[in-house]
Amino acid sequence: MTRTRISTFTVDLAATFALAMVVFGPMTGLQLNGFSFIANWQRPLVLAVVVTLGRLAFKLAWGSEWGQRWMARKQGKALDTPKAIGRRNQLWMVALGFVLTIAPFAFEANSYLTKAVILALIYVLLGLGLNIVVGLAGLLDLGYVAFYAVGAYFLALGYQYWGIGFWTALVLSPILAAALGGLLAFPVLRTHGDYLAIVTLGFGEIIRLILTNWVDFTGGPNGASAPGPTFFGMEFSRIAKYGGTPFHEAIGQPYNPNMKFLFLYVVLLVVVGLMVFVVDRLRKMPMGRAWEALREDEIACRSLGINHIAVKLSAFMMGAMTGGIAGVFFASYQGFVNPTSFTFFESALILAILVLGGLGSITGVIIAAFVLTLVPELLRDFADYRILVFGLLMILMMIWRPRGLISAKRPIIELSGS
Amino acid sequence: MDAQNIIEVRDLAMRFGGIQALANVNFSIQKDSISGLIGPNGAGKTTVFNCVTGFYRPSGGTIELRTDGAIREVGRLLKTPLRGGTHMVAQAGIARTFQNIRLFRDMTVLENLLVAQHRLLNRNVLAGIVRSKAFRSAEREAVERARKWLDIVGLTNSASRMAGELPYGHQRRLEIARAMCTGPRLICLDEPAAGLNPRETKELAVLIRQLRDQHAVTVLLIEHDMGLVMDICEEIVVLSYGKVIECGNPQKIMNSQVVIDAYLGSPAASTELEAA
Repeated sequence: MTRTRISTFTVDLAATFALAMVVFGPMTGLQLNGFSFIANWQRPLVLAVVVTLGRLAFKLAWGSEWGQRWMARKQGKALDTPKAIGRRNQLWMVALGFVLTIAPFAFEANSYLTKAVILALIYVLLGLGLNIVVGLAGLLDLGYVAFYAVGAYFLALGYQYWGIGFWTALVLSPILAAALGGLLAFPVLRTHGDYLAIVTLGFGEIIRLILTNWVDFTGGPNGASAPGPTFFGMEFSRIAKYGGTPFHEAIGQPYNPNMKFLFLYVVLLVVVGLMVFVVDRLRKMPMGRAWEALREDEIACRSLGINHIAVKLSAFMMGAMTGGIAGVFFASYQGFVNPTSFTFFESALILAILVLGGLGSITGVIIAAFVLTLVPELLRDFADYRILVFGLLMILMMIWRPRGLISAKRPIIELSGS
Repeated sequence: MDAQNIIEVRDLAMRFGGIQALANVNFSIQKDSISGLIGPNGAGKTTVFNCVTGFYRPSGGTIELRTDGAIREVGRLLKTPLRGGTHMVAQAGIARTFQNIRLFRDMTVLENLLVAQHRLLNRNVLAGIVRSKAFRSAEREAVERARKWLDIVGLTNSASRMAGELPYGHQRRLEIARAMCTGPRLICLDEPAAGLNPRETKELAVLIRQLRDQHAVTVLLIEHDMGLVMDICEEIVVLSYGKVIECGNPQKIMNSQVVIDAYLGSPAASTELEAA
């Protein structure tokens, strides 16, 4: 008994090690040197050992008496009528939120990391938005980037023509994006599956082509500049362009170019936190349940008196809103927008985040967004092979975890008196 | 005609391209009855169901629904601009189940029943996000109603399981519970006993009677299990080749020569075959 256990244990650890080497090997082990590679096996080896040790720790924990009891409780919960989700999860969320809030301040000197994390958070936002459309409502949207572009260009052009600031855009862009989402939804409403994907793909391209070719209004391929965020009207630049005092003077500190990004990071974190909260609640609401029901079976939905057109419309609009918000952050973060940021590749990347993370799963989407944006940023040397690794990851995922890293959990509702 | 009728089907015709699936179908279903729709395979039973529940728009004729004191015509409900569609028929108090079970397989049993109560819930988005008092009480009521139906169909212990992983017989019962959660006046069951074993079929008969006797709902069912049909139905409509060939109580149907001919072939037809 123990013999077989130990042998399966060893096999499991060996498999973990091998997998870790496969994943980390090409990414961290190959260093570009001119036109050739230098193989550096120490880094992947260290990473793989860390992963294997982690696996070992988990295995031992599960094997221990305490772990067994915990597992038994977990499994007991899964059957029959379990208790509602407890407070422990929420505590974890609060702790995680706290760590994330102070993290960039601890690394203040490293503005590069802050910027990378901001980008990752923008993708979390995009992932959450597309999750509503694809993961919950089951409508494959290949042109999601259009709403992202609308949000970004709204800030840039609004600033240019009407003097709209960051905060105004943050409030108005979801409305504009939702209106556009509704407009797109109309031709889409009667299409299903593949046809829907093609129509949305077309829509994404139309928006990009308009942005590229309407040179007089959008600046065409040259793009347009976008304003940074302000804090009660105080700018984060060295000199206030619109009068008033810049932020660093107001607090009596020397100018720090990183300040803008730190501020943007905090605002973004709050928005992402809110969005996670909202999406989580949506799943437990009639609207979210109707989306999921629509994904499962449209005909059954209609037979229950649910207006499937209204449900699709609401999913598209909610998804578009989130995309619009993400766009505003992106424009403000870059300080500049042009059409090359909104190609089909972006849509595909967001979709990859969803598939990798697990359709419908919030935690999965957050993890996948960080992995797919931070890993390439941190391993710039390997940028040329990014897509190759994505493809490999996707294939491996489809083989071993077809429902994503973390498959979505159903909200459990407690029945009284059972 | 009769104010006691819950549906009145007049001259219903349905044509798919060159195929006349239904022609001049006339029948009515009495309120608070259990009625059956039978006929050989391909007779057009499910087509009638799809017309009555608003999944097909009939090529001709009218279907009047007399629920809650109003008279509504299915074709007109489907054609209502902008808001119109199948869901309006369901909202008029017609619920249905499907021949090939259509549950929300990746959702829990309880959620299946909550989706069915969509229209009865507080659908205000803001109220749901902040969990207002009104929202919570509406949700609680919905869970209670779902629980009541789970108790009735005997699935309380599976409330948190995925609907798709339930045994087949349980899925059939869940689909009926889900249809009942919409608060219908008429429930249309499309082959509810298909794939059930004899014991489950007996339980189903009890359940269907219970629906009518205790929950004030009219039942219309399509079924091939003649034992079940003759046992529980008070009125039977027989279809063959898209036409109603006989209507009446089980006794009359069982002794009707037309019906027997439709199922087994008439002596005249068989002699023709032999001659050929």
